[in-house]
Amino acid sequence: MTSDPAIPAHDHLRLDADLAELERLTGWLDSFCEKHGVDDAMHYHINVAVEEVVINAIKHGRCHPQAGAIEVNLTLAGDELQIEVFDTGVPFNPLDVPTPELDADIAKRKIGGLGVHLVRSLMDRVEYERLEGRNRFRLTKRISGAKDAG
Amino acid sequence: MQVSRRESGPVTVLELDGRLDSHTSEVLETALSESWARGATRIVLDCERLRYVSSAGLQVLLVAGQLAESKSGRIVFCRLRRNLGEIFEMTKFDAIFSVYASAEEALESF
Repeated sequence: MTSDPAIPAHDHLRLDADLAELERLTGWLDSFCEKHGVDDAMHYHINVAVEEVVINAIKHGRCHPQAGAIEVNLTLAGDELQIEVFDTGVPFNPLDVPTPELDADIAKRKIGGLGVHLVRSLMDRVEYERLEGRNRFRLTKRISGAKDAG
Repeated sequence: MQVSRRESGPVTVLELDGRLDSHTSEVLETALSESWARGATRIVLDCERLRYVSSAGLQVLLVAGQLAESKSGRIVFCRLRRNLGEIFEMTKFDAIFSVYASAEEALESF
């Protein structure tokens, strides 16, 4: 592989709003991380965060039509990975979701909100905007293990 | 995601293999339902070969832990990989579930 850290690496995937697409998303993320030498821990963080955002659109977005409703862009520039997820679902701002009560006893723990909490915890920056009828999430992660971006 | 079950005295051990995500969490839900139906209330989840958990998986684990407690039972974990241990810390699952380094220690905790 030739490489030039000055040249950002970019990849793009379009998904249907269908749970069965998760496998394809995972395989694509695996390939990207492997190709660019992203270490296991960072790879794990990226995988969980992207899954949470995409699954939320699939399960709750009511995307119509489902075909091609979700678009994921990855851009690795130097040691910073930018993840952009667009979906055609109903407006949803994860930054409005309160942090779940994590200190409660097991009987009182709620199942909701864990996904958004993980995205916030695993990423260095999470931004949201509603753009031309789509949700746009921009997640940023510093990738200490990346060998290069080319 | 594959789940294999074995019994060790009064304790049920479920060995988890693969990914526990939105697409596969049903497999664990089914295995747990079968365990409850058999009367199991003391369960060890052996995570040596569990390589991924997302919030969908965490939700299944939380509901299972709550159900076990309501039956005066308990679910404990062993052999969590580092990445999963980190997720447990971030979500404070390590405060509501006991995690052991080995299956033997997990079994002895009951």
